[in-house]
Amino acid sequence: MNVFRRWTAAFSLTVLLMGGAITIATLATPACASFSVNKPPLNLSPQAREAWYATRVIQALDVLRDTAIDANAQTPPLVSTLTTKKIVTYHKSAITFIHEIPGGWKASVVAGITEVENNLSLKEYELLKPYTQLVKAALSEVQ
Amino acid sequence: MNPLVTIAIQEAPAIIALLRGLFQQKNPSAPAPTDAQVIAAFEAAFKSSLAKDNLWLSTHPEETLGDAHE
Repeated sequence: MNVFRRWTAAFSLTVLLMGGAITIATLATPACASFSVNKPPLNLSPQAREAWYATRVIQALDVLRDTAIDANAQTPPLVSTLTTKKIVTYHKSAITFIHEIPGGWKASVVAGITEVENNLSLKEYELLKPYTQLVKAALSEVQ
Repeated sequence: MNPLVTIAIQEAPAIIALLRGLFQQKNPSAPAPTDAQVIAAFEAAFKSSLAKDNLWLSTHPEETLGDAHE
C-alpha cells in the first residue's frame, strides 16, 4: 500500500510539474523570440544582424538556383536551359548586390525575383513556385 | 504532515531533474554566435555561392541555349 501511495504521489507531482512547465513554456515563447530560428541573436551588432539576414537570403536563393540547375539536368529537362541561365544570372546579381550594397539591396532583389517569376512558363512557374516563395519569405523577414 | 506531501517533497528533486533533462534535450543551450562568426559565415556563403554560379555559367555559354521552353 505504501508503494502505491508513494507512486500515486510521485505521479500527481509529475503531472502538476509538467502542467506548470508547459504553461511557462507557452508564456515564455514570445519572450524567447530572440532565440527563434527566424530572428538573429540579440547580442549581434547592426552589421552582424545585416549579415545574418543576408546569409539566410543567400541560402534561400541557393535553393532556388540549385533546384533550377538540377531540373535542367534531367532528361528531358524539366526547366529549359534559357530559364536556368536567367535564374543563375539573377542569382549571381542578387548575391553580388547583397554583398556589395549592405543595407540597400533588398528592393533590387525583390524586384528581381518578381521578374524571374514573370519570365517563367506556366509549367516552370508551378515547378519552381515553392522555391521562389521561399526566397520571398526570406526577403520578407529582413529588417 | 500528510505522508503524501512528505513523499512528494522527497521525490521532487528526482522529478525536477528528469524534467530538466527532457527540456535540455529539446532546447540545447548552444552559445549565441559572435559578430565575427556571423560575418565569416556570410562571406563563406557568398563566396561558395558565387563560385557555383560562375561554374555553371562557364559550362553553359550562349550557343548552348537552343532548348528554350521545350
